[in-house]
Amino acid sequence: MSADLVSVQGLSVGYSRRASLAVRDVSMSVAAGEFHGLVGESGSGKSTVARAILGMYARGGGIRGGRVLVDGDDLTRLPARRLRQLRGAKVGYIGQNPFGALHPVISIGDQFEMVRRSHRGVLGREAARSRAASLLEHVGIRDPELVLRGHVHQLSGGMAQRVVIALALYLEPRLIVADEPTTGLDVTVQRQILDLLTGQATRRGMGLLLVTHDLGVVAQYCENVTVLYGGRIMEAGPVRSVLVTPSHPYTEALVAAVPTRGQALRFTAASDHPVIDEGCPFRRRCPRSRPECVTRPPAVTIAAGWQANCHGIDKADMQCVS
Amino acid sequence: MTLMGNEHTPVRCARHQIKTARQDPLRPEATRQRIPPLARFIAMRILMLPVSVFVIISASFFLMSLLPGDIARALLGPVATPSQVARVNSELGLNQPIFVRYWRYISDVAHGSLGSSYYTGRAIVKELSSRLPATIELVVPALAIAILLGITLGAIGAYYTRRRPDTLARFGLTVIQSVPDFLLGLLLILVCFSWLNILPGPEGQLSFADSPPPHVTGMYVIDALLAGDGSTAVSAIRHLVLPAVTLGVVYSATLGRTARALLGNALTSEYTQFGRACGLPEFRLVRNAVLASRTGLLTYTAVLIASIIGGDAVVEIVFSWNGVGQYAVQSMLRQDLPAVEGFVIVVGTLTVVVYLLLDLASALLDPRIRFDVSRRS
Amino acid sequence: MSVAEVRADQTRLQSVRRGRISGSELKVAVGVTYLAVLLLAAFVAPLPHSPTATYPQAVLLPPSTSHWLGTDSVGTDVFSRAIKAAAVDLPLALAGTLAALLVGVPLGVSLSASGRWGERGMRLVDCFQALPLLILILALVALSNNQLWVIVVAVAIYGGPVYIRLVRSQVLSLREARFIEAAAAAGASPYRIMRRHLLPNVRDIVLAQTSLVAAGALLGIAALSFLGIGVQPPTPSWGSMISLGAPALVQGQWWPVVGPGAAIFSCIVAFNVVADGLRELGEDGAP
Repeated sequence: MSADLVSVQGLSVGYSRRASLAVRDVSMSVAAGEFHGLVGESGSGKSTVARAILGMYARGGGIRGGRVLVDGDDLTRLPARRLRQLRGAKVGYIGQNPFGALHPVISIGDQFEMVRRSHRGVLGREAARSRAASLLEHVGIRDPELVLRGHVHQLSGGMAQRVVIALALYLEPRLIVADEPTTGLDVTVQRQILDLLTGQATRRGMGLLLVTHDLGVVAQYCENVTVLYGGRIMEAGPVRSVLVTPSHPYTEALVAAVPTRGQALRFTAASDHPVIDEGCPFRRRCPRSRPECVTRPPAVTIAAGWQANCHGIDKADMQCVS
Repeated sequence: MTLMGNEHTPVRCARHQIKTARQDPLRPEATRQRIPPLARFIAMRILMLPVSVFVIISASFFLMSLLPGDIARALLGPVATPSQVARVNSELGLNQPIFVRYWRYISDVAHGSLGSSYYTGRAIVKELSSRLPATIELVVPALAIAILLGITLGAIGAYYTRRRPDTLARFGLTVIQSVPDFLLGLLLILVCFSWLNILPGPEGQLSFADSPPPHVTGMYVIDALLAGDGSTAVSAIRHLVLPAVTLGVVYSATLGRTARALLGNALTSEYTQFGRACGLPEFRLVRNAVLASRTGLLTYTAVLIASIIGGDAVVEIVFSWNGVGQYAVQSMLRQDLPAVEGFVIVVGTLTVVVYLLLDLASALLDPRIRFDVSRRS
Repeated sequence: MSVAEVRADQTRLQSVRRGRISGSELKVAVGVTYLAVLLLAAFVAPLPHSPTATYPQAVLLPPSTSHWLGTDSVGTDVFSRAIKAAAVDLPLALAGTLAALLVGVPLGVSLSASGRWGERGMRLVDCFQALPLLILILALVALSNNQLWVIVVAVAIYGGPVYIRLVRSQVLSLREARFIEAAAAAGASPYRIMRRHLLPNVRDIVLAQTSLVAAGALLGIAALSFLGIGVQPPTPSWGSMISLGAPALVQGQWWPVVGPGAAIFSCIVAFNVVADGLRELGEDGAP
């Protein structure tokens, strides 16, 4: 428990304009130094969870139940000042679109300086500048001084995302939350950026919460994975177990949809919106759907640290239950 | 690896986002054309200035000349005989073909003359230049009030979108937007002069008891201060308060609405999100939003300046303020066409100059333009 | 059915499904009702006193049970006259706005056509708007012997460019939108794109702007008659009532100004609130 850097407990998030919740009863944790994947389709609530870890909600949104602990501090109870100090210093954030994330008219160097000055007693001004430059070098920017003097519009997508990564690393946070960090980039640089991000995090002993819809990326970089659908956790556990022998029908469908070489592309059952109510959101698409799926699915522990929320598991696949 | 559900392919997304991220919503054409080097840009704009002024002069002349109405009859009154009307028409040159009059007017303007008043016979240039300082003295503090109040209300509304302070700010802006300037002026006079008697009534720039300071700039507050005449300066400032507040408050409405929209976009943008995720304090996020939308704010400030220069006439009349606006309206009422033409030319030229300065300022402030230029030169 | 049409249907469905009256709809309803009631009252309601008769023996009476808003400096009942003035000022503002709409929207659409002519046309509109419009309109109305149809033309001169700019920028940005691209890719004809996809999307914002232009027109008409131009006494008009009451107001007798002032203020608030509501409805409907 105390080893967990971030612990999300029964989190529900809602946006005021709709009665239904964007995220329901989500619990997960990331240990110090752990690389954790958070996967799901668009609208599954993965970004909402990621931002809740920084105590941020989109306009009109807010926590409706449960809590988020970061390093033992309950974010909902933390005074605004300490919450702000925590962002950047304990948890760094990387978003989808590096062009949007960097300020259009403030120079890159000044943006580093602003982050430094927002957190007390981190570094001196000169030391900070050279630290920013060396960070930029670490993330693979050849002429850091020139970039520090420049603006976003002069950078390519890959360079801009490198700058964003450097900004997120700047205050040596203990966890990086990366929300689809490569969606906005060309395919050719996606791998480079992910290698860079995970490499830097490993070197610095930081944890990483990687939000993505790409199972291949999760399989390659993460130790543990949490699968979200319709705002609920479907299955969570070690990547090797969950992605190799999935026990939840949704995860099965997800893994089956990954094309392998020499195999024609297959589609899952006709795409449909998740059902948002007390029951399982996947039941309309689920091949193992049964009448009790309209009630809340139970959490079934398959092995240590591996859980699935499904009515169908303990009866159909008993082989894993201890 | 694959993509789930109905996500776009990454390549498509990347292109789309680069396009949207680089587009400046206020100047869409700037992205399409290649931006010329700053020097050429400035030179082009300055060369265009005389052309614009020429268009304004011509427009002013033709609009006034082609308006319906019989000038001579209006000057002489309804009982004038036809021969009197004919004499006045020939004295004023009104019986000549319009292009002859146009040519004469243009050559006069080129020699620095805007003609003379039908009514007083004095040169229009003199009439206008003696009144322009009073207008400037009124408009400058009014602008300061309008900009401060407008951006503050807009920023409050944008930051607290759909919460209590936003409702209040929007309510305030709706009230401001809905009150006619002359009504607000009169109500302020009622409260501050008639009831509380803390400020002077509508008697112009100074009381009848005050003697005007020696003429330097024509602006009484500055002239009195230059002359070291403290009591006249205080009186001039006290006379300035109500008209300047009236104008400033009324003109803050449009800027406030624009500021709310611009800052609202900036405050929900990804760079604000990212700044917040980096732990920047909220006041800095607001400041960054103002910085990011400064070209837009500047544009609307320029529109504000342009509209207040000609638009303060009614307030000048309410407060008996002896400026060019009041003069123009009075001239209009007695059909003193050269005076009105002169006013239109002066105000139109000022407007064009304000827009020129705006273009130069936004070119200098926008790093996208500034850097492209410095790299090449 | 194209993708865009499906989407438009979905938006429509959503707004229907919502069922209960939203705050935006309430705004529109309250504003329109207020203006309609005032306009109706001005034409048909029995007024407590004559709105035009003068009584030299009853000058500047303060508000009382018989004169609800007092009398002005010629002895006319302020309340009756302020109500009656709505029969002149409101129709004038509305007619002018309609004229501006009829001139501005087609011009805006045609200037949004690609090519040099659009740009050139806009430069002309720029130049036009650089002129001090208040003075030009003043000149126009004053020199035409204060005929009322000239006021309608004047409002069109003021409001036309506003529509041209708005419609052009809307159409230009919509043309880049994905659902227009989709419709074009699906083989829809330019006319069909215009009628079925562009105009419905421009409609909301144009309606909102119409309410704003009407508010501006009312302000302008009041300013003109305050200056003694346009609607002439004895025809009641809010601006001229305020101008007549101004000298008394400086003496502290507020009612001859506050009566018509409240009438004009409430009407402009109503127009602005309707515009707000329409704009919000447009935003909610947008994807």
